[in-house]
Amino acid sequence: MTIFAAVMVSIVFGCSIHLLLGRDLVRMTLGVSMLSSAINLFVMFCGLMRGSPPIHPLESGQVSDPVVQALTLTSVVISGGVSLLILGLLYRVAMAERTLDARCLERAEIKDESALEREARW
Amino acid sequence: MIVAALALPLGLAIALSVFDGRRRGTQILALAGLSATLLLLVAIARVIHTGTLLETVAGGWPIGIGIRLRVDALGIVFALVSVSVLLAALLRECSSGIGWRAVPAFVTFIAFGMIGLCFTADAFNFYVFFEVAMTGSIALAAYSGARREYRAALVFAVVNMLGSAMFLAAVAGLYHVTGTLDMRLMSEAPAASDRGAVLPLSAALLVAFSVKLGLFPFHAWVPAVYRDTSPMVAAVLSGAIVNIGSYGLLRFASTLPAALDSGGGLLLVLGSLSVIYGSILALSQPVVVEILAYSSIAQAGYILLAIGLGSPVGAAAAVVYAAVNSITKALLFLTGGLSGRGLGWAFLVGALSAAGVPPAAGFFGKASIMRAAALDASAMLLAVVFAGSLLSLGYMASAYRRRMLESPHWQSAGLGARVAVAALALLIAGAGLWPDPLLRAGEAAAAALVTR
Repeated sequence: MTIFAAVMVSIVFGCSIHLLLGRDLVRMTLGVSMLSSAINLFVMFCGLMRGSPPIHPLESGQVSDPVVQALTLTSVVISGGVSLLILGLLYRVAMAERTLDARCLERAEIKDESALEREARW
Repeated sequence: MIVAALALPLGLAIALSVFDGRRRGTQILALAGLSATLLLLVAIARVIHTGTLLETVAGGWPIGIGIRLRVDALGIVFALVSVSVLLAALLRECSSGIGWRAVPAFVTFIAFGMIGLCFTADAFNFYVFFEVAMTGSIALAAYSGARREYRAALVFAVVNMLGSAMFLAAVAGLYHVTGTLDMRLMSEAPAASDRGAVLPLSAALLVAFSVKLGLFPFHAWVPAVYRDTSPMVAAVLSGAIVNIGSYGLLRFASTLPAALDSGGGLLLVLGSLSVIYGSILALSQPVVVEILAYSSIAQAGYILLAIGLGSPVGAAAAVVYAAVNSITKALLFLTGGLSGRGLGWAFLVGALSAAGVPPAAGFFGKASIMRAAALDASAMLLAVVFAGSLLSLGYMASAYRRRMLESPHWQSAGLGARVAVAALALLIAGAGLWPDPLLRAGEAAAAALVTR
C-alpha cells in the first residue's frame, strides 16, 4: 500500500511539474492546481487508510483516521479557491497583454523595466 | 480575549467586503476597526507581559483533541508588528485615494490571517491562516490594475502557491511522524528527535518559509513583484507578509530542535549567501524600489543567520531584527511615489535604520545579531555581518540620494499619508533612543520559545 501511495503521488506530482515548466500559461495554471491535488493525495496517504469509515454508529473495531480526511477536505477547498484566483488573474493578464505565452510576458517585462529607469518612477 | 482579537478583524473584513471601499465612510470604519484590533493586541501584550499565558481550546475539548489557540510573547510581538504595518499602509492609501473597492476588506483579511497565524498552536490551523493572509495579499498585489500589477500578482500567486504546497506536505508529514497536529505535543513526541524522519520534513518547511522571506535561492520573485506593485502593496508584503516567513521559521525551529541541531550549519550558509548576494545586487540597482527589494533579500539573510545560530541569544536577535526590519521596510515603501515636506526626513530615518546607523532602531537589530555571532565565537559570521552592514550603508546612501531627486509624476502627500509615515518614523527613532522595551520583548519571545 505504501509503495502504491508513493507511486501515485509521484506520478501526479511529476505531471504537475511538467505542466508548470511549459511556456503556455494555461498549462502552468493547470499545473498549479494539479500540484495541489498531488499534495492532497499525499495528505490522505499520511493517515491510516484501512478500516471502516469513521461514521457513527461504528460497524467494526478498526476505524480509519478521520483527521487526515478532515485536513484533505479543508485543503481541497483552499486549493480550489486559490486556483480560481490564479485563473482570474491569468484572465486579466491575458486581456491586458493579449498573449498567453510566458516568453512574451517576459519580453513585455523587460520593456517595462527599461521604461521605468527612463522615467525614474521612484 | 484571544477569540475577540480574532473575531473582530474577521467580522470587520466580512462587513467591509460588502461596502464600497472608495467611500469615505467605509475607509473610516476600516481604520477604526483596525485601530481597535491594535488596541486589543496591546491589551493582550500587557497581560502576557505579567507572565500569564493566554490559552483556549476550541469547543471546550481536552488538549490534544481540540484545536488550541495559544498566545505567547513571540506570537504577540509579530502580531503587533504586522497589524501596525497594515494600519499604516491603509491610512496612507486612504489619504492618497483608493481606486478599488475591495482594498480595505483585503487589508483586514490579511490582518485576520496574520493574527490567527501568530495565535494558533496547531500546525494545520497555521496553514489555514497562512492561506488566508496569502490569498488576501495575492488579490491585493493586483491592486491599481495596470498590466504590470497583474503580471506581478500572477508571478507572486504561482510562486507562493508552490511554497504553500510544500508547507502543507510538511505539515501532513509531521502528523504522520508524530501523530499530532498540536505544535507543543509534536515537539514532545519521541519521533520529533528522530533525525531521519524529521530532516526531510524540515527541509520542506525551510523551502516554504524561505519563499515567503525571499531568501537567496528562492528570491527570484522578490524584485519583480516589489517593483511592479503599488508602494502600499510593497509595504504590506515587506512589512506584514514577510513576518509569516520569520515567525514560521522561529516557531518550527523550536518545534523540531533535532532538525535545527543538524541543519543549523546549512541555515548559516544560506543566510550568509543571502546577505552578500542581496547587498551586492542592491548596490548596483538604478531605481529606489529595486534597491529596497534587493536589500530585503539581504535582511532575510540576517534573520536566517540569527536563527541558524540556534542559541537563545540568536533567537532573541532574530525577533528584534525581524520586528525592526518590518517596520523599517514598510516606512521606506510607504514614502514611495509621494512628495511633500517631512517625507524626506522620514525616508532618512528609515534609511539610517536599514543601514544600522545608531540613532535609529536598526542599529540595535544589527548589534544584537553581531552579539549573538560574537557569543558563538565565529569569525566568519562576524565578517559576513560586518561586510553586509558596510554594503548596506552604501546602498542606502544611494537610495537616499535617488529618493531626493523627486520626480514631477509624484503625488503630493495628504494628511493621512503624512501621519502614517510620521508614526512609523517616530516608532523607529523612539525605539532607537530607548531600546529597552524592544530588547526585552526579544528576550521574552526567545524565552517563550525555549521553555514553552
